[in-house]
Amino acid sequence: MKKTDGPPLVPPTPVPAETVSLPDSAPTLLGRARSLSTAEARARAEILVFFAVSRLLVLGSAAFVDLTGFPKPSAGSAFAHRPFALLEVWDGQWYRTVATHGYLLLPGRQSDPAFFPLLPILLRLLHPLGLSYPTAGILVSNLAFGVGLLAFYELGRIWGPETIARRAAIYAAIFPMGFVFSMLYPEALAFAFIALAGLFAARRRWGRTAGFAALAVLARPEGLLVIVPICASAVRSWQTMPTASRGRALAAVLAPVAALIGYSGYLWWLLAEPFAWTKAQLAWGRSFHVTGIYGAVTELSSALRHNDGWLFRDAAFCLVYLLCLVAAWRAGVPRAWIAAGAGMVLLPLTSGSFTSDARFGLLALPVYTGLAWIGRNRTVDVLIRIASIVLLVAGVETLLLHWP
Amino acid sequence: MTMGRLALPVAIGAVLAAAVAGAAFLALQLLPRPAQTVVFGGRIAQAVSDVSIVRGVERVGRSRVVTVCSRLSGQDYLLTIGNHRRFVIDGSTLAPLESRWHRGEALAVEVALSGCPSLLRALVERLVLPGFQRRARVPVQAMTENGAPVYRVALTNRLTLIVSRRTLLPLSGAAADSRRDEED
Repeated sequence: MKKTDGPPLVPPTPVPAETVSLPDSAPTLLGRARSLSTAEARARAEILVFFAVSRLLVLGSAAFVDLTGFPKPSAGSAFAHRPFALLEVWDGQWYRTVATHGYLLLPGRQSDPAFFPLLPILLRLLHPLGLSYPTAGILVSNLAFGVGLLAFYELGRIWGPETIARRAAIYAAIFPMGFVFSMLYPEALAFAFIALAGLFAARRRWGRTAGFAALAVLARPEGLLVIVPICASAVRSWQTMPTASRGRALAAVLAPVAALIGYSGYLWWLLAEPFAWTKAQLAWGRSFHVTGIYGAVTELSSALRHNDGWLFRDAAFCLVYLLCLVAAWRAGVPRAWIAAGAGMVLLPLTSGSFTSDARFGLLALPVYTGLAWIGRNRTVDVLIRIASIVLLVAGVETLLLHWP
Repeated sequence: MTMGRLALPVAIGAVLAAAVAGAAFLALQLLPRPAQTVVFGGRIAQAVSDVSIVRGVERVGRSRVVTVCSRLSGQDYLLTIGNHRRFVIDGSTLAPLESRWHRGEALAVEVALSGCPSLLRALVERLVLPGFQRRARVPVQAMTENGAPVYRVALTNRLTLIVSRRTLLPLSGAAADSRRDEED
């Protein structure tokens, strides 16, 4: 593709990923020209526009709830003192506790080792700059999500056609549960690091893959599943790699587990309990059983009787995620990524509940690609965009009623 | 592929992965740490919580009462005082006990000192949580009792708990002048 000085006379034709994405190890002039092409710049700009608009909607809706207390006016006064206080609620309080006080395990009681350390560490690092923990957290989440969307776009171009990669990144930006990416939650960080780890694994940059995969795990335990696509990339490249590269590839595969060992080692050193993070989960009813999925379905059947209608939201998203994963498979997304995505959606159900599965599935990147494949028809595309934006705002407006 | 050709990549991978684990451990040092006594209080609460049955001899004044507190399931315990009085201790809330405490301490203290793990745990946690949130220390004191190294935890102004320094399991409890021995 040739670079031009002025704007193109005709809209650039999307180029299939196989011809656009060159490995970083081939820094040819042609490669540089391609990476800076107008089409790509436009795609990135379009993604960033959707990112900015969606975040403005989330922040604006949160400010509306802060001011009015809608739909729980009694809670309004608790939020009025600080803008975007709504985005700090639920688990945000726990991450703040870790940043303020550190970790402590209390038996049979909800304890903070269940909340992974990367976000609190970043809050601690930003605090000396004069940022409060909540402000720093919301800033980090939103910035990380922007970076994550661009990384996901690049990864999507490796998986398939550029148009689908672009649409997938846009859908991720406006995804209904995506308000979590602006909250004092580590989902945005995990999203970005999973995408970056996957991207660099596909480019065989094993050192960076290891670093980002480790960071993904320190953000959220689902990051562990990025092992599957990294392992697939390493196995595919194994025969053609020199010895040192093989060692680095192996380190990239092991890095998520190593990061988890680092966290467990810290808890052992501090609390004499290396598995405090799993023990703490027990107080939320999160213990994993083979029959857990059956239990989750059973719980759903009695949810209305127990006044827990919100479970249906999580179950509905779970279903959407699974359908999108099937679509992603049809769209040609690598099977290792489909497997990792399925793990992120289905493994939480083995705890016997659909609770929060709508949030957990946000990190299953192929879901967005599958949705983009479904939205390849113009009408369907428009419908998905409109529905996503409406549901995104509705999600923020109902945040006081139930945790994500 | 021979083992020799595989050994070098595995060695490199293991060393780099260990470096990642070490880096993660070091990064976690950036987080604040609760006071040592707070962490310790949490560990005592855990050790107490793991106990399924506590037998004890209470001495209140001149009388001696044998008590047994055994786990039914989860945090539900059956407390037997002497041969006649049985209570089901449901959960770990202290509120019902404390409401009696104000009206007359005898029964509440008797029940608390019978050493039901869920109640002891609640008493320990009541010290630990404020200590964690306010970065204060928990009143834990190292000492020896009958030649054995123990920790003394001041649960309230009147109640103290003695735990083994080695296992952190409760050894005895005492309320002001009255005293009761427990064994696991």
